[in-house]
Amino acid sequence: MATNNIKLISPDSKLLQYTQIELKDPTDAYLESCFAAIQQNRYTIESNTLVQIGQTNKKSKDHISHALLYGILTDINNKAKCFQDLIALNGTNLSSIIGTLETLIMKNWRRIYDNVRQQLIWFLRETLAANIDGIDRLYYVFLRQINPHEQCLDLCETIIELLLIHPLFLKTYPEMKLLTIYTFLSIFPIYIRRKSQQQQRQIDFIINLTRENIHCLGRDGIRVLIQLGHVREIDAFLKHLSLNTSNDYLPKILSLETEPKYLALPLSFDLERHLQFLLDNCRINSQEKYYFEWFQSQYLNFKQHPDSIYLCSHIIRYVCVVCRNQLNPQKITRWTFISWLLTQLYNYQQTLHQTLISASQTAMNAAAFLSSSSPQLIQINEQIIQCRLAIYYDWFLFDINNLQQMTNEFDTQLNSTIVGYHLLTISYHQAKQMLLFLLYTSENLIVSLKSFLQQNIARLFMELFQRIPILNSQQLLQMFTHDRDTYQRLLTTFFSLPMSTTAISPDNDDIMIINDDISPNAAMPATDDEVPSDIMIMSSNTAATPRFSDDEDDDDDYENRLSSHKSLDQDYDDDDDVLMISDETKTSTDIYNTNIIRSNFPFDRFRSYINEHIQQLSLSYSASTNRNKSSLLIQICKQIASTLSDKRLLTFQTQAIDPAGPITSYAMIKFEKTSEKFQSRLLTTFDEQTIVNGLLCLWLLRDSFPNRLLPSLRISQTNKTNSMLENNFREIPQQKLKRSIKQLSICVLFRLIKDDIPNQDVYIKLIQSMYFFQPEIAYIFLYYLSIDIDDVKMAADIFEKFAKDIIKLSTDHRKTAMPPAKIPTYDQDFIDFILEILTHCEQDDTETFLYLFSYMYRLYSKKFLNNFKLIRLLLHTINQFELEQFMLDILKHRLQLFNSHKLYSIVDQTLLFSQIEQEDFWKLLGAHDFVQNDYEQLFTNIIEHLLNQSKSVIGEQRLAKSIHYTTYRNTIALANVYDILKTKIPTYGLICCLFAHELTKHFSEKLCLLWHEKHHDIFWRYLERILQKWIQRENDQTKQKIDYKIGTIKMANENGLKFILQHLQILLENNSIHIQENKIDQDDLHDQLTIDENLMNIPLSVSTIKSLIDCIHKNEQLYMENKTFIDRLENGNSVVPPPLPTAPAAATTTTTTSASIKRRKLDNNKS
Amino acid sequence: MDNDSTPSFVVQLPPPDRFEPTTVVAKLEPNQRQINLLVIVLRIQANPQKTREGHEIHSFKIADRTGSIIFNVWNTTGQLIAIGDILRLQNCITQVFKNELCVKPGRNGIVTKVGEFMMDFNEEPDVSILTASMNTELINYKDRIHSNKRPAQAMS
Repeated sequence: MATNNIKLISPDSKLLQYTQIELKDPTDAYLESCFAAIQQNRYTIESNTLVQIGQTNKKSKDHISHALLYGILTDINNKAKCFQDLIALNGTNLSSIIGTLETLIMKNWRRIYDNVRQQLIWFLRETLAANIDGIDRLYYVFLRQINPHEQCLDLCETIIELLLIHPLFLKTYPEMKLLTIYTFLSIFPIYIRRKSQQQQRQIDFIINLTRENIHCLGRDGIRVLIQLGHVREIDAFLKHLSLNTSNDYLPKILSLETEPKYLALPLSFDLERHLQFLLDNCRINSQEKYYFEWFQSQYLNFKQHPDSIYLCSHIIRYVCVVCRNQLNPQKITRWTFISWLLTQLYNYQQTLHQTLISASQTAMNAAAFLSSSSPQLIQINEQIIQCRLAIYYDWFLFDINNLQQMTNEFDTQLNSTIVGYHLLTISYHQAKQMLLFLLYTSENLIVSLKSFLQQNIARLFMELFQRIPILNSQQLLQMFTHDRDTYQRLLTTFFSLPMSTTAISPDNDDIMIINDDISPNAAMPATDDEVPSDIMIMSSNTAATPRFSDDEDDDDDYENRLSSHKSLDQDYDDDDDVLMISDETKTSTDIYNTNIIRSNFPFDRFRSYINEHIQQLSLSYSASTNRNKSSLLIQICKQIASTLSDKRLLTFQTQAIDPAGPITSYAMIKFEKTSEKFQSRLLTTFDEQTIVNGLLCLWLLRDSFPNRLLPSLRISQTNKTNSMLENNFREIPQQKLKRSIKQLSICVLFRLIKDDIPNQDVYIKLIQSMYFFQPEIAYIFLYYLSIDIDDVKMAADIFEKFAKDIIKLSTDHRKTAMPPAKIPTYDQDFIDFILEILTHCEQDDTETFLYLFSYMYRLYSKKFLNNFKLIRLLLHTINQFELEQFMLDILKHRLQLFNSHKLYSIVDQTLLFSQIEQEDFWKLLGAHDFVQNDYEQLFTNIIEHLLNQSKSVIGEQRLAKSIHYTTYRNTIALANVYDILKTKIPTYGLICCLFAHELTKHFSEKLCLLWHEKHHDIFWRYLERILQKWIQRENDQTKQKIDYKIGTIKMANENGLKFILQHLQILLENNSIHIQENKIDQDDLHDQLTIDENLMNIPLSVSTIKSLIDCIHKNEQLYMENKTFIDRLENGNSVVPPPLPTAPAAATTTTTTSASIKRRKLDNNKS
Repeated sequence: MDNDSTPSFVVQLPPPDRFEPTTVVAKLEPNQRQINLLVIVLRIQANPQKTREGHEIHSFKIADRTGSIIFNVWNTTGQLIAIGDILRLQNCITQVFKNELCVKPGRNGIVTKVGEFMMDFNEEPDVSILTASMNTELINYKDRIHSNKRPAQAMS
């Protein structure tokens, strides 16, 4: 590391002071070498030979002159002699010397030694006295050193002294006179504060000059004068200007533009160079943070150099007027720079505030302290006003009537006003302040010219809205909706020119919406002729901030919200692939192989598909940070629609490639977006222009996707996860929902579908093409439909249109189905599509998903009933609270998820679910009315399926696969069936169903016992009928075994008897005593009290018991197994229950459904 | 007047500035020597640190059109460098210091300020961050150095 220690030798110089690492200035080196040559050539500076040599040898003349100059600057003793020699050698033509001095001073003023500076001033004085040619150039260089940055207040005095001694100089060079005036006016705020007491003479001198020449300086002369309004003489002068001069004197001055050379005066050479470089070269996003930091540390270090705040307004004015617009979008814009500069000022203002407040906390009255003793704060407030004035100065004076359009002057004026216009878009806070500033200042700046100024601004706004449509008047006015007074004032002063005065192109009629509702009488009267005599010019103190500062507090709230909004956006930024089409493959054929970076849409690439106007609009849309952009978006969408509707909708450009892999529906969106397959397929349905415009829309709407759709019920959104649990979308008022879609910029497009009926198809096409790149759009669309279109049928139609092509495109390339599988119908595809949409939604936001889910069932009430996939999705998502809400909806008939058709197949499939999900399923199912009412038919089927489960092929496969199945089998489902049936009256079909299957402990046993107990009579009557039928079949030898049916239920042919016996056994044996006890009081027909305990009371007819026993005896094995029970059965008493109150045929079903009627017919036929 | 008899006035003009950068930041690799660069100082990378001998190490982030790198310099030179300065670095070396590639003046290194502010630059790529391939190269390089040294030690 020892090598790291560099030997430092600063360059040796008598002119300039160098640090040890600085390179020697070439001019310095040259002058030094010229001077050194005198000694080297063995002359002395005093000798006259030098002049002689110079006179004879032209080459040497220049060197000798420079050597003499060096002598003047460094050798105090011989400076007079040197100067004489110089004059003798060159006469009055010192141009090369002056040129050298110019370079030296321009580059090195700060480094020049003090004694050398004195010599330089001495040289200036001598040349003035000698009336040397081109001395104005040297004078100008000195003048430029007087500025708020370098200050050089001593130089101020010296120069004024000089001018007082040599009054002829300014008469000879009138331009220098004007430059001098402007320079001094711009340094006076600092100069007067520091030296006003001693230097009254100098001030008077400059003010006198100003009085005589202000009309040549132009409008900025007045601006710098206003800044000095607190000086008594200047105040008097301004009053004189307005009162005692002819009527058009002041307007004439104001209409004269100040030349750039004046505006550059308050900036030092370095500052001007650096500023130009910054605005020309600084690349946005990568370099600005450095350049801005360097610029600030060098020129705007407010803390170390408080006076540098006086520089700001001059910098801004220079940037607005002198600098031109960058055409390169990569480079920094002027308004970005100015916005940054203003932010620095605001920050400094805030810091001052804070320090003053904290310093005054010990003082008794903080407020009094603040107001009385903070000159710095007053200064900065003044300067902020000055900066705003600098930005908008040309706005007040933009007299479109006097400016010939398409001329240079018009262009320059527009150039300087554009900055202010763009600043309105950068931040809400700034825009609001600026508008207020424009309003108040236009009223107070020059009272007599008030209407003239206001009209100018109004016309300029109109002009800019048309030329650069980033903003419109509504957006600007919207900031003041809470303040009706200001709103009205702004509306009438700036945004209410009569339509006839300007020609508005048909494309832009939406921009000036505000004009539609204004009476033409509100137009401003023409003011050119009527300038009243009492012109008052506002002094800087009256324009100071207090009147604006009130507004700042109001905006804090908004800014917080804005910042939170921004942070949301940043989160979104992390998720880079949302809108990105990756650029992995680069084949020349596909044009979508592009990276849609969010900040920049590749317009160039798609030039042939996007028309110029749309491009321009969307550029301004994306450049603007203002929140309300919907009218701009409407324009863009309308434009797109009009370009797309002109042509054929479908152009088949590329033949699709045969599908290679297995493709289910909706596989399209899962494709890599750059793949050829995806693109070629997309092209079969959409033409390229539609796709490109769709991409453009996506790019414009890129911020619409990450946000939650449903508005929150809670006011604070701090804890979203919690609010989600408690937030119930059913309680959100309709108004709030409607408001939520109004905020969504994407809904502008959707609303056009509803409103712009002729172009409806085009918009739908556009959204379809967008869908393939951004599937979320489908559910946002659905959400929109649910809220904004009240007519369900219309909404369904629109959505059907939207879905149709997407489904078609996705299914066109499906492989032909293998024989056992069927090609899905369109309806099935449609459901799959909806499922896809809802799945997307579910992943993004559960609440919205639930909302849309119930909406879907309302929208397509028939299609979706009993759809297993949708139910599964719901059950996966739902929590307990939401489940209850859904059940409530079902109970109130707001929602129906199931009907009885093939319900058992769904029940069948739910067996795979986890326990909780199965429970939830049964809860939802149980809430339906039809389940409770038509339970017989339904549950015979369901029980049949459930109890047969282990026999079905699918069941076996599942058995192997699913852990839930092996653990729970169908127990959960059966338990739920039991829960539903336990409150119901037994029916023929159900009992039949129970007896046809093996006895299960948790279901059939429980249910049989329950019914036996609660509905004893009905139960046994049905049972008897069933047994009779069964026995009849069993004895019928002609029928084949497979046809053994009772009702629709197949009775088990082999184990049928066994199952019946199992059931009878538990019914009769275990509970006989219990039943008897219950029955004693009721059974008056049969006195059973004396019956032997061993004897069973069988509530069946004798004949039935007998034939049953006969059947049993045929099967020896069965008899042997259940010998005791059968014996008891044989010996048991027959206790026939009382006949049913209704006819047996009617009693088979509790309600008459078409299904049950069919079944009865079937029964009758068979019997 | 006779031209020959007039005495001549000979000026030895200062030598023209012939500085040429030998390389650019993006091409820098560990352990290069005698490099000349023209760079701009982006920022102060870290607070000055003291070595055991009491020297202050000033660390800056410098850049040219091709990329950026860390520049370490000692004592006064470091104090004199400000952000935004355009520097000429002559006879510098590159070195891996604290697992970052840096430039520092070599034995006869010269650091000269030639301007400020007005220079185009790119912060990316940051050459200081070593890539994996560079790291392995570095290890190989160190191994080579070690293997060269060991026999010499054995000899002595």
